[in-house]
Amino acid sequence: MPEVPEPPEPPETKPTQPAPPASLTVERVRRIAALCRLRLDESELERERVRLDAVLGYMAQLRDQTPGEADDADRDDLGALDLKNAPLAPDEPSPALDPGVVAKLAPDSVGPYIRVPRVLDGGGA
Amino acid sequence: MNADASSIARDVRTGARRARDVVAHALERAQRDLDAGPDGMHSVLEVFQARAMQASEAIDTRVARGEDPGPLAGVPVLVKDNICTAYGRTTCASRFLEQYESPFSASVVERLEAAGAVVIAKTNLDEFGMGSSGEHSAFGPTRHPTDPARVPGGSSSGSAAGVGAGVAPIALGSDTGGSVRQPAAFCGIVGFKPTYGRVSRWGLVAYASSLDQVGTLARTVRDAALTLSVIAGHDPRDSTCVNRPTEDFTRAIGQPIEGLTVGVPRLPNPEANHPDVLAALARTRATLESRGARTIDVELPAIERAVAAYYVIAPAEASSNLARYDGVRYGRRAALEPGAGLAELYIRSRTEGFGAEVRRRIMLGTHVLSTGYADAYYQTAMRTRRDIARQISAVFAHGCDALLMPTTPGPAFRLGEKTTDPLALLLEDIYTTPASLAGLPAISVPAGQTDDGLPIGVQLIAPAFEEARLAQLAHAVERWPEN
Repeated sequence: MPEVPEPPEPPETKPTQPAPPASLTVERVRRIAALCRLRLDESELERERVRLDAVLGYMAQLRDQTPGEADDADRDDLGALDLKNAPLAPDEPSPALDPGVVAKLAPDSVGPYIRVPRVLDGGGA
Repeated sequence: MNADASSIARDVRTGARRARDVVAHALERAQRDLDAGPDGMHSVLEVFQARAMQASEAIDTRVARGEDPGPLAGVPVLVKDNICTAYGRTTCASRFLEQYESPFSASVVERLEAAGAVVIAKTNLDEFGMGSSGEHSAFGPTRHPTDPARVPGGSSSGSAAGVGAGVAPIALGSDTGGSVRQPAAFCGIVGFKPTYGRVSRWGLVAYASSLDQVGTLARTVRDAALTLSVIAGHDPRDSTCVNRPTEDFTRAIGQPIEGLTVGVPRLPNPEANHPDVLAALARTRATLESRGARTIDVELPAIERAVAAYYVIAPAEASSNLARYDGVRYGRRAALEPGAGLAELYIRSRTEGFGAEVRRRIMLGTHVLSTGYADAYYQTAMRTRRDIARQISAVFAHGCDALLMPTTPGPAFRLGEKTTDPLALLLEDIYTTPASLAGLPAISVPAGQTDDGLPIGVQLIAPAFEEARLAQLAHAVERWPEN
């Protein structure tokens, strides 16, 4: 056994993607919130912009320090996560929850049906 | 409750002690904490008085009939409130699920109860498991069991504080990036995260599915390993749960550790650690050597990037997992003005239902997955994840049986101390995220305390599915204040 185990030789550092914009704008935060189905008021937008920007700035070190190109191994070689040999659930029907139970969990229901606001004719979904 | 789970179960199985007395005592402690509310320790969100007493009496009846109720007979257990129980509520400490009653119990709860354990209460947490302090609960923060001005860590804040305060000898938590190990270190107890896939996630409310694992918290390594042995095992209802034979993870506890080799990675930024943490690490290393193990320095440069990768991958998965909370199928629905449509229902329900930290992580995850950003953030984080897994695997392949690291850079911090600096709380997870990203088993064990009496934990990490070896090494170094 060697005295000091050596880590694998790191490949040459080569960022493969163009850098994202240096900092977030309020408009970008507003857009993200909309994608998330969330609503922030004006003061929250600026506060979240500052916080998210700080976190994303820290994460930018990943791009600068992580070598190599993305390949299939990135998805399949995750230590104990043996995705190539992951067991798959049998493709067989299994008992589902009773519709009455599902309806009971819903905030609003009529009999076995979940009730939602109008979707068509101005529902705005 | 000072008795450990192993001795309670032994006494109940032999009839030397009644389960109802043990459970009644634990219920009294849990109820007192619940009644104190946010002004108290606030480790408990709901107590199951009648159900737990009934279950304990059924165990005594079985013992009287000559039956064996199981390896955790009569042991009171706390369950983190993001693990479903078919009784009471499962809130995830979120306004969104404040009234949610699960129609089923999680596999881990079924297994605990089948082994004779009695669930006495559900515990507080950072909402949906998102936090490292216990301050991000919609129902108010959990406080440290010995210093109410400090945090107990998170996100399994109530489970760790409850065990630390002696409400119950064991608890279930969930660990995505350190949420069992970090609060265990802060509260002076043991936190055991299994290999990814060792324990079923069926009934664990999803945060980041490729990282989430149910773990155990206890006052001793033996109890944590015993509880993990009970909840581990194949479950066809979770396709990521591996099909391996069940094991007794306590089997090697007490066996000599001579001949084992423990790698000690060079810390990325030693001066960023509390000096007492570094001292505890050195003391633990010396203990391992004095008991016959060999320790060697190792280099794992990729771990420096672990926390950044984690805070890309986990929010990315969270943004998808939490899309299900839309105010339609379960949980909170916002009250709408007449004529408001379905889109407004989604937006209002989610904005009102999620707390600030959850909203922030959903937005972060959505951003790093969006067009023009996914390669720079998400794909790079996945490459980092691979690098970490490969580097750790290489160290194990070269003959190391385990790694020794701090669990946290410092002891429990003050409430509010890290709520304004968005990076400060992230860096709490710097030592716990590597094992999470690599899917490896890891355990935090008490390693003494600071000069002002705050607990310190150290962490051991082992190759996949080597939980028994981890328990063996952890038992050899666990250090209690009275020692």
